[in-house]
Amino acid sequence: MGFARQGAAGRAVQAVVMAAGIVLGMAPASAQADEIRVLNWQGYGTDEAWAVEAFTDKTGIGVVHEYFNSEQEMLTKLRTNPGAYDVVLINSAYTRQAAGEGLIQPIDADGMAHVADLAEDLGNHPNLVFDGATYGVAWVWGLTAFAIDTQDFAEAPASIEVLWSPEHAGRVGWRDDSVEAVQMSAIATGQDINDPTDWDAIRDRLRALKPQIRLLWSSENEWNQFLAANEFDLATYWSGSAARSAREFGLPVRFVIPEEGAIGWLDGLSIPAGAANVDGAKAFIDWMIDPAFYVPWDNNVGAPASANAKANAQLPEEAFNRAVMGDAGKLANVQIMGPMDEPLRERILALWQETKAYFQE
Amino acid sequence: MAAVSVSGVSKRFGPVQALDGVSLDFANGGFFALLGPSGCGKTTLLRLIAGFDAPDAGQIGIGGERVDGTPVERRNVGMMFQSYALFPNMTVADNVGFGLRVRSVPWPERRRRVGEALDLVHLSGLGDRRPHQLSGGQRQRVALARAIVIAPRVLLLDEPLSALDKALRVSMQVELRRIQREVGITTIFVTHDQEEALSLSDRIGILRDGRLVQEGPPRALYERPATAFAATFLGEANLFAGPVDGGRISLGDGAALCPSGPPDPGAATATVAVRPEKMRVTAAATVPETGWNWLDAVVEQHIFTGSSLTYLLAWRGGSLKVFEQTLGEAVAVPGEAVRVVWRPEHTVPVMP
Amino acid sequence: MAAQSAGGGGRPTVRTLATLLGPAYVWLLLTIFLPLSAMLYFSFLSDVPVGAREAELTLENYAAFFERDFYRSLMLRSFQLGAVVTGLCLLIGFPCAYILAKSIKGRAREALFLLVILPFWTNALVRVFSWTMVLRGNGVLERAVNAVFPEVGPLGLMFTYPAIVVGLVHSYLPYMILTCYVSLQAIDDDVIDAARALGAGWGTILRRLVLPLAAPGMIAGAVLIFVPVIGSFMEPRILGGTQGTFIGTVIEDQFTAVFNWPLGAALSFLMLGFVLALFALAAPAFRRLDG
Repeated sequence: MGFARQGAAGRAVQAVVMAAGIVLGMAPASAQADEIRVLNWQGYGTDEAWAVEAFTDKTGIGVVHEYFNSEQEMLTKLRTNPGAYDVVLINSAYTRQAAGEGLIQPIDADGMAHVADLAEDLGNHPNLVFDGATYGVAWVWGLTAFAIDTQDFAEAPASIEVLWSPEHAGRVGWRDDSVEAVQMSAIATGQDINDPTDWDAIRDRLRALKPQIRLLWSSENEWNQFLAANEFDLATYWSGSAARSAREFGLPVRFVIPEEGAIGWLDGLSIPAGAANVDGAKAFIDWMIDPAFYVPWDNNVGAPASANAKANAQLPEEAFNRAVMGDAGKLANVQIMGPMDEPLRERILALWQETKAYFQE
Repeated sequence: MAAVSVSGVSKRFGPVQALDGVSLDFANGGFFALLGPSGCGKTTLLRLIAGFDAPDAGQIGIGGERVDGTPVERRNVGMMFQSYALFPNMTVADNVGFGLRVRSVPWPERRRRVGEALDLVHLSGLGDRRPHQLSGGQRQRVALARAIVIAPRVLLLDEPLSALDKALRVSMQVELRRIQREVGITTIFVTHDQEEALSLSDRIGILRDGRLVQEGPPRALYERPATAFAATFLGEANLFAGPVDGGRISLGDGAALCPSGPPDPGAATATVAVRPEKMRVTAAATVPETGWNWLDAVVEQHIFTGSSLTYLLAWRGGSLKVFEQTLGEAVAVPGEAVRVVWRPEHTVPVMP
Repeated sequence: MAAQSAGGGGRPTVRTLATLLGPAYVWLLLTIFLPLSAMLYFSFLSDVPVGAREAELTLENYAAFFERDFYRSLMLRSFQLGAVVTGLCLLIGFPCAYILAKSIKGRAREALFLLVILPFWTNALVRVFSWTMVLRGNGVLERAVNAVFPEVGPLGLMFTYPAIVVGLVHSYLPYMILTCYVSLQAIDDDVIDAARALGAGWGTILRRLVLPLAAPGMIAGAVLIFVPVIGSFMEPRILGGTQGTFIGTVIEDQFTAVFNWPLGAALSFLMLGFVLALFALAAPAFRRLDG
């Protein structure tokens, strides 16, 4: 009714207000006092239903999740939604960058009972602790190397060179990630994965993959499906995910730590700057490194190795994370992924894209 | 040019019998009208002659040879559609020249013949226009030129003038007839407009419900309709029916009509038709001339249309219509009792 | 001329037009024009101006395209993919639309229409993944073929260029069928009959009448298909494997693998520029096709 009686100007204003309201309404709401918002990969521990339930029962704080599909997506979400999240999972290779951009705040370990149990070299890793403060709580860690289909190998290979072996030409799966691809080549050519110097050698190694790679994968789910469909004999993979594929999905998977070394990664839980519920966030992070969470998580679902040494020790003896990863922690040639500045990342991306274009020629 | 013959043709579409045993001969060079109400089968018959469909039974011949096996592309007929069906993406000249191009007529001859065809229909100089730039009448003439230029054996027109307004239609009727006479081509055209059929054609075939009702020259059809339907469809007629009594049709109360010819021998009742213009309204007790038929009636309305006067009357057995030319005589007024008189020669026995 | 009321007959007033078109244009402004303008601006910056980042004007994002060969080769490859997919959609879609418009009437036509539009009802990602189930090793197709011809063995269709083409044609074919259908069913049946009566065979009718009259529909369909296909990244990634690298995937990477929005934007607008140049070159040919 009233609409018809307004002038054209009034109607225009109303239209703009409606449109703005719709646009603003799409921005995420901030957390309530009895709730925390967690930003993580989907299906990566923090959203295990039983764990969330136990946490809410104990503290009365509800947990709401949001997900990302790439580290860049995670950073973009932090940049464009300040104050929208209370806990965020950040691969320690990015923690320094996030802190430098003012996206996360220092964490005061007061009231977090299990922080003291973190393994010395992980809890205080320079990726997470710098400028006199802790910006990320070490949570889980693992290795990136490759895993084999046990049905296609008489005995497990020891060297990373098997990925370039003509014996498996056209039967290799490879993760479609520029940094990982370059770092694997760096290991194969004996270089520092965070600061390679011989770019020609890396380029040649990448190009040498042309006859080898059958498919590119980008998620754990894809990896499992391709293995089940017998699309590859071996593929680059993460240690924790390999354990999960074997346990949860019953696939004939075995993770291999090459003698030349492996890429290590350390995931930390951080608190974004301007988070609404810092106390709730700290309580949740503490729960995540609690053995009472970690042991059932690894036993029932499958997980990367815990940064909490005590939690790791409480696993069954033959558990992968205790038996294999426990030793791996002592391996000298495991290189943990560290921070890279953006020009380096862009250079790596351009190299990988150029390589993929080369694959098509 | 050729004669067309249709013999015993039937066509059924699903549950509908569109044509039922129709036989007609179309003389070479003649202008023939297929007339009838919608749904009577006239367009179906035209399309069968053209070759878009094949009859279920019967034969169709053009120029003496059977053509029912030949597809339309090879029958060499000129067809003009009600919607003109000009090719929207071509110029007028290309439209007209389309049939020639299909026949691989070389460009110089094609250009000459297209020019001649456009001259014939008085559209010279419009060769570069597109159909959407033309008026309705112009489009119609392009369609005609396109159909004629290929020198077909037969020209088939499907309600060619029904999309035009009245004034244009009348002038196009004249044009159409002129062109047809000039070219001398056997022409069959379909219409539901009986005036058009009467004024243009050499012979008319009246169709109803898929059957041929009557066929002949316009004047004969008009003055001697074979059935009550023909009498009322082609022109207007007053119908009277009654038992036959001594060669006359009795209408009860002593009134009886003398028909122009003997009614069906052996028939107990007969129907006669009398055209309104054949009747005259006279004063109530006028003694009619010897032998004339007459009826007493009351004027209900009279309608003055300048050159004529239409009387709507009521008589004991129903209503009557009379057309009279205004000759300055006294006009009967509504409510007046009058006597209607007419000659027996104009009392035509018809099938009911 | 005095303004007439909107309800009465006659042309709508400026006020009516503004009311009816206004919301749509405000929406387009907010959701398309403004973001795209922002992206165009970013393409001339060295970094995304968010938070503490500093950005300065530069042409190096556009220069990168001309400096590195693989951007150009991938751009060309994407345009080729667009041409192949559009061509196949024309070859398959036009006859489909013709039969739908001319040969089938009534109930059957509605049912077939529904089948044509069916891909639109499904989520695009689901569609592409269901193609992986059909095309992959030991997938539906391979098992069916080997059931009948056991000696054929693996088909090797997955992670190939043809697999990408199949997925894209399947997704975009309805556009071509619909646009051609609209053009074709506007062709008066009498026009075809008139051509037949003049002696034209089916080849001539197709060439000189049907194709020119259906050209607007074919061109509209081609544009609707070509433009999205050259920028596509989902089907190439999922179906193409190592053969699935195109300019679309490269642009996507700028937003998901690194935070290089300026380069992504520059490559996108370069792609847009090439598309517009292509249309400008092809325009005279389109005009001639119109008869």
